Amino acid sequence: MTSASITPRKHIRLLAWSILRDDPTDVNCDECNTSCQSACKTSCTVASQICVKASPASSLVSAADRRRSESFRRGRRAIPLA
Amino acid sequence: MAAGLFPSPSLWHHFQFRHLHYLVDGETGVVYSLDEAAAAAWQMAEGPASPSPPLALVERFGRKEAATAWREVLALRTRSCSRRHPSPGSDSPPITLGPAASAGFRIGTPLKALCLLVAMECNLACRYCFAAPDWQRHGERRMSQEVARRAIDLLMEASGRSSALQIDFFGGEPTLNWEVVTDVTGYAASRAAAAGKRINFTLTTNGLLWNEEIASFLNFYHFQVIFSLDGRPEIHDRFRRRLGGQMSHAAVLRNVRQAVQQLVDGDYWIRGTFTRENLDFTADVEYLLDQGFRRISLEPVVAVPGPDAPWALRDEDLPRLLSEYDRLAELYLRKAREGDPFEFFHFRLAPPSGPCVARRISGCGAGYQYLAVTPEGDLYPCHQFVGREAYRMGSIFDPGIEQSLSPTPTGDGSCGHLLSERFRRAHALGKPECRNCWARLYCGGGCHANADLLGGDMLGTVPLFCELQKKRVELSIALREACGTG
Repeated sequence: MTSASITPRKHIRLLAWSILRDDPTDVNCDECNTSCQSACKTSCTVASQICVKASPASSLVSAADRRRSESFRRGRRAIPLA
Repeated sequence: MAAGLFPSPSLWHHFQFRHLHYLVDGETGVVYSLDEAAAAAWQMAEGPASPSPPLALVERFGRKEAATAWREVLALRTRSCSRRHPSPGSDSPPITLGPAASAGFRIGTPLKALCLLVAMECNLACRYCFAAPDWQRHGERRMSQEVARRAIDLLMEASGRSSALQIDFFGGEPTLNWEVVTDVTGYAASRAAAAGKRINFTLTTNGLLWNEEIASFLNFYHFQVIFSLDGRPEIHDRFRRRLGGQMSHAAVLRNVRQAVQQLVDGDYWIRGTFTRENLDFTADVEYLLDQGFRRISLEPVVAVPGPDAPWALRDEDLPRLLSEYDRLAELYLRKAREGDPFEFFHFRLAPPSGPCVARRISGCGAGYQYLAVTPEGDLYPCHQFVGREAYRMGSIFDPGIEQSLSPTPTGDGSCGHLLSERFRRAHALGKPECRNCWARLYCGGGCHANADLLGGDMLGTVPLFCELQKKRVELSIALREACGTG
C-alpha cells in the first residue's frame, strides 16, 4: 500500500488503498473458504474472507481464525487415516 | 448515518458514522475519511467545478477552511478521474478489474466445497426454517454411508488443482445422523491426505444432542461449529420450538455454553436469525454477550412476506433495520473500547490485502465451487436451493458428473454443465444491478438463492437485502477505522 501519490491533506485522509491487487499473485488460488460455508448460510460477504496468502496476522482476524488459517495454509491439520 | 438508500450513479459512495464522513471508491475499494468541511465540499462539487469554493461553503466554514477543503476535494476528483481514464503523464498506473470486466467472463475455479445434508429431519420445528418444507413434502430421510462416501469421491475427483477443500455438515439437524458424520469425516480426511489436499470441516447444529463424544470428535478434526441460537429466551422460543411445541431455549443455551467451553480451538459461531418480530436484535446480541459468547452472527430471516410468514422482513422495515445496525455498531465499538471486544460476523472486514479480485467478484461460489448434496445424492447449487426442481444439477451417481462440473481445459472457465455454467457467470460483474454498485467488491453479488426466492431471478437482486448488506459494509469500514484496526 502506498499513499505517496495522494497528497496528505488537512481535510481528507486516505484510510485504505486499493483492494485490487494488480500483481501476478492476484489470481484465484482457491485457498480461501467458500463464503456461505461458515456462519451465515443465508447471505454472503466476500469482503470478510481471509486470504491465507495475504495477511493471516491481521488484527481483524480472531485468534481462532488465525489458528485455522495457519494450519490450513501449512497443512498442519491433524489428518488421521480412517 | 447519511448514506443514500439507493445506489449512486457513480461508484463513489459517501456515508457518515458518528462524526466522521467516509468516501469509498467502489471501483477500487480506496477509502478516505473526510471532515465536515470536505464532506460538504464533496457534495457541492458535483458537475463542472470552479477553482474557487462555493459561497455556501465559505459562509459555513470560513474563507480559509473552505478554500483548503475545496482544493483537496478538487484534487481528489481529478485524481480519481485520471485513474479511471489514464492519460499520458499520469503518475500512477490504471487499476482495473482485468479480464473479469469483459462480457461473458466466467469464474473458472473447480469444485472445492460440499454441504452434506446428512439428516433431512430435525428435533426442532422452527417456524422460519427454510429447509423443513423439503422433508414435509418428501418425508424425513438420513444420508447413507454409501451416498456420503460417494459425495467425497466426487469432491476429490472434481476438485482438480484445488488443494483446500471444505465439508459442511448440515440438515436438518446433522447430529441425528452422527454415525455417518463420523464415518465420512474420517473417510474424507483419509482421502484428502492421500491426495495431498487439506480439508476443513464445519457443522451447523442446534446443540440439543451435544455430548462429550461429539465434543471430542469435533475437536479431533478441528471442526468449526455453528450453533443455532437466536438470543433472548422469548425471541428464541417464539420460533425454535421442539416437535411437541415445547420451549427449547433453556436446553440449547445450557448445551451450547458447555460446548463452547469444550471446543479447544474456540472455533465457533453463535448463529441466530432475526425477523420482523425482533427488529431490536441488538438486544439479542447483548443477551448472547451476557451469556459469555464472543463470536456472534445474527442473520436476517429468509422468507417471502405474506400471511404464511408474517415474520418475514418487509421493505418498510428498512429504516428501522438500518438504525438497528447503527445501534449494534455502537455496542461493538463500546465493547472494543472497554477492552471486552466481540466478533460480529458481518462486521468483519479483511484488510485491503485480503481477498483477490477473482474471489471478491465470485461471491459465494454456489453452483460450481460449492454444492449441496441431499440424502439421496441429488446435487443442488447450495443448501438453500434444495428442493427447487429447476435447480437440481443431477446426482452424484450420474456417469461423468465429475467431468461435466469441472472447468474445461480451454482455460476460459467454461464447463460442460449448463446450470453450473450459469452460476459461473453470475458474479458481481455479471449481474446487471451489481455492475454499477459501489459495494460489489465487498458483497460479491449477493445471495443467488435469495434473489431467486424473493425476486424470481437468480441474476437479480433483492433491494432490501442489498441495502442491509451495504449498511453492514459501511459499518465494517467505519468500525475498522474507529477501532484502530485498519
